[in-house]
Amino acid sequence: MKRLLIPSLALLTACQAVGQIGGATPDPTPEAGRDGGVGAPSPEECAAPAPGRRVLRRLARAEYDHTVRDLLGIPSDHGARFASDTVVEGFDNHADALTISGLLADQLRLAAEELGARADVARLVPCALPPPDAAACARDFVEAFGARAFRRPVTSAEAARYVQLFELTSADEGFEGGVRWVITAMLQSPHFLHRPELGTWNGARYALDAWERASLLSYSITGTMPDAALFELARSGALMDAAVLEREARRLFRTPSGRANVQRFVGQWLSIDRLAEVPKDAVTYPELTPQIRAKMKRETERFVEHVVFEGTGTITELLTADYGFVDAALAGYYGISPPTEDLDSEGFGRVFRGELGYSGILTHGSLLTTHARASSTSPVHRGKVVRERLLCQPLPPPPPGIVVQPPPLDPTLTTRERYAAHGSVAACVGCHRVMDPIGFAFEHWDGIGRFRADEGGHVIDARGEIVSSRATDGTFDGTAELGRRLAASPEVSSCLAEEWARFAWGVSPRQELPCVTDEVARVLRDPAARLEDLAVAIATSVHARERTGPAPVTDAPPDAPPVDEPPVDEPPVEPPPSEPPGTTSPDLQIDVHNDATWETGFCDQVTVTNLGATELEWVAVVHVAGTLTQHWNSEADGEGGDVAFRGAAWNRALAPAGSTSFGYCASR
Amino acid sequence: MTSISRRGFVRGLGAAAVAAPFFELLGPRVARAQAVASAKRLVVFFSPNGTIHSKWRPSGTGASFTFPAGSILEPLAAHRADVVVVDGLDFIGTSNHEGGMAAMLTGGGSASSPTAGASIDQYVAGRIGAESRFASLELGVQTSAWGGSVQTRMSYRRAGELVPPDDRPDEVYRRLFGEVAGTPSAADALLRKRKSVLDLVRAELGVLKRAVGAEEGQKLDRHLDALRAVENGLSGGTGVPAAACTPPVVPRIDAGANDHFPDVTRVQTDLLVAALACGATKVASLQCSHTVSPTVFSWTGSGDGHHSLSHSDDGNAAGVAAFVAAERWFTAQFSYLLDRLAALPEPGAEGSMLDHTLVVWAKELGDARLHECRAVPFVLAGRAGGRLTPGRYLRYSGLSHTKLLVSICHAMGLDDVTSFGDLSHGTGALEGLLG
Repeated sequence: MKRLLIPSLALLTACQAVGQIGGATPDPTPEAGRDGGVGAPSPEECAAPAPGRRVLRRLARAEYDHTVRDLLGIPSDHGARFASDTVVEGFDNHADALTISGLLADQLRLAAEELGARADVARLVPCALPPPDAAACARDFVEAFGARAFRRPVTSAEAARYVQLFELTSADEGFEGGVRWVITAMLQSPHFLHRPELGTWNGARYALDAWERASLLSYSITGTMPDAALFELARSGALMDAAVLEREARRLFRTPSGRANVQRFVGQWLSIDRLAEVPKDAVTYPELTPQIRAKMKRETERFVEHVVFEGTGTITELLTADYGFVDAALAGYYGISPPTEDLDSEGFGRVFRGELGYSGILTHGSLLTTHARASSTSPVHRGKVVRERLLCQPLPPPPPGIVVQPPPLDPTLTTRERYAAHGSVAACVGCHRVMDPIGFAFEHWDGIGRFRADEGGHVIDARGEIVSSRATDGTFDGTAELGRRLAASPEVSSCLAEEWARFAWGVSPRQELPCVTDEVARVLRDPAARLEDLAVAIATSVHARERTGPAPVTDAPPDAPPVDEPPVDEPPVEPPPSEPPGTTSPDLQIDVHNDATWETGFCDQVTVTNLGATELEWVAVVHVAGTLTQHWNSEADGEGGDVAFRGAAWNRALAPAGSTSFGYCASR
Repeated sequence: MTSISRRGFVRGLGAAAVAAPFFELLGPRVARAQAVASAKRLVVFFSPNGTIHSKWRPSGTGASFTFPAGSILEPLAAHRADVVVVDGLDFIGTSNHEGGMAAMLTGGGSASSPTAGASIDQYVAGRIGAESRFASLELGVQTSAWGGSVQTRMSYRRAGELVPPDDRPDEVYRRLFGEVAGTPSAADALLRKRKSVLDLVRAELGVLKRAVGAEEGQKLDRHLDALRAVENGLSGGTGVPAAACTPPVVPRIDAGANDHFPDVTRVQTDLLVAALACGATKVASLQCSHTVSPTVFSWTGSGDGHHSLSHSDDGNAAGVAAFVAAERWFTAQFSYLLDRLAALPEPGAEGSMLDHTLVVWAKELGDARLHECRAVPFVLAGRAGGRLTPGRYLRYSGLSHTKLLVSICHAMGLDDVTSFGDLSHGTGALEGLLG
């Protein structure tokens, strides 16, 4: 949890540092990286980019709703109503911030009970209603539905708990009632609410298993649980193949959920998801109705959809396009000609935007309205969003002890003239020189996103400048020139990669994964590269396949009795099979990890690693203290005692240093 | 390994899972001194963006003070005898919006502080709230349009762990009053099933915890902690409902729309009072917006955001007037909260609920124009069961507000508390505040 506070502490530190200067001009030259001044690593340092840490990731609120929709087949807005999560660097899905408070746990419970009650049981259970064999149907349901809810097979220990709950609740509520309680419980399960990205130790790193890979891929590309095809690739193990992983990433990117997820990213990246509620003065801006706000949101979504999925898919088109999508009402609001052809079902169509300086999403009403004051524009806010979200250079707060009154409205002056003090007062100029001169370029766009030729009769000077960047410095006149400068900047493409990685990985990429972040950012060096290529690179990077972490302390099962425990009566050892089932391959390291234990059984996960110099078809003899009830990712010779496990077709061959994992459950 | 040891392990795990890690963390529970009067409940009220001292300060001092005409606190005139205005406390070593928000209720505490970085409401809830249906209730008014962050949250369960308020009156109502079961036996059966679900989830958390590292295990500990709160909420607790336990009517409105701010504030206040009157909790907070609030006070005639108004320089008469008007509106809301508590008789005791409550109005900055946390304004209200003598204006100079936080603990009967938050800011209570 310590990591969560780093962004805010960084801000405080910067603030205090400024304060210590004591009246001298602060020089908050923007930090090189977003995460506290970590510069770009050198190529030598990044010869073999290492993946990040092992995490549990609670479903973000939007992910909860999408997952419920896909799992139960009914819409949910419960997640949208849950207590807002802590936002880290603009995104609400940082792994460290997604915890469960008392309030959220209660909200999750209420949601789970309502969803359990609303679920279409007949559609979800694997038998006809009323069930011919209620107990068998309930058990099958727990396993089949549980595998989708937990996004991996349910262990028999887990299944037993839910069957027990079914028995308890169906006693007085009948079969359907029991099923509803199972759904209600599974929706509160940590295995539903948390996505594990933990992996299994392979001697060097923790390898994410096929189920973990499937979930990570699915949530990072589509914001929801894996679909049937992806589940099948996890079950078969095919997803362990990098080529299959990439193919799936590209397939998922273009699904409806993948398209919606791009909108979710853009909304958080540029903070335009605040548009619906950003307070505005109704006296100054009576035209900005809730309906217009909703249409502005639609305008940006339709544009992003077009650029990413139908257009060139490039940053350049996103930031510099000369067209947009509006309906008649929004066209009237902007004072442009309404669309006339190829209107969609909501009346939106593509129009050429002739306003001076129009430059793609930079000049969308959504962005301009969100980043402005309640009754005027704001060069500060607009400069800040470019600096922080497009250049990834965070800014410190104003220093204490000086009056920081925003310039009052004055009809005799232009906004630029009112903000002139920021460029002349020593205490202000240090910070504001990196914001205001960018924001001045937006002065032809009013506080609610409309073009204005002049400002109350005064001539607008929209010349601007970027200073103190790494690779984007220079002057420009108006937003179109600014857009072209940003679109051509390697700093901007690198920043976009960082922001998208933040969204997909739920960590602070520049701080935690500088080399992998650089690696995926390289995709965008080709000016023709599509944003899709970036999303795929992020979703298939080494961080999507492996994790680093300290080696497990011991190979012993975690529930081994303490060594000083007095000996207890051992049950009689089962007689070994008449013929030894086989012998373990030479050079094969076997790590047995206990997954679950209950009174009459247990499940283990086994990782085998080829420590030799040549490829081998592995055999692992493992002592199973009971009778095998199921096993996966392997073939088993033997039912108990020493069992020889061999790989399934897809994981039988192990390259040198390669590893794979399999598992089994047994009864005792 | 034997089946016996495996069974033993599972049982041991269950016990560990049930034990709450948090309350122990706050130190041994000390029996509250019976001889000394104390408040039965604590209410924290927050409004953002500091103040303009010259427009906030009463005139006079001690018991003889008045609220000047047109000043920010003037709408409290009817409650002059119910409040203590506390002036001149600093958040030591802290400045700016974010720092002020973080230090306001925590006293700058960290994980190693005796209070473990908890905010005053959460600390008190941890000490006196265990038997309540809700150890504490956090209500908000438009706190979350920017999501949770140090800027938008004021309560901390412990260092680094923000406690989110509920901004939706309909959800608050549903949590508090919406789950009335039919017959007692049906209610019992429902409760049993809900507890079975919680038990199942706890068992799964126990298994999962063994698979994850220590750091990720903390998340699961919090989840377990949260389930304990859920279970308390289900069971009803031991609070005594007052005769006046009446759920308010909650209008169906978009709680996030700027112009609904007054309506949401009103109904959240009513819900907070109802929760107290119905014995659902002893510790409640109402957070109105957050620092750097962009709320446009259209209902007081202003067209600019509250944060912009708060930075109006003394030379900007119109801006200052608009800010004062917004601040007077907050004072009126605080006054309404006191109206409601004063109108309800205390169950099983003499006087009103206000007499047995400590209400704290906190802000995160002193002079907002300067981004400083010096002379941060506080207003206390209620008699705290007789521990606090209201009707006074106390002026201090440069004392740490952590002393006030210690005094709040004492007023709640937690007299063993000697420091709150960062120890380096000093120890002991605020001299002259409590009897």
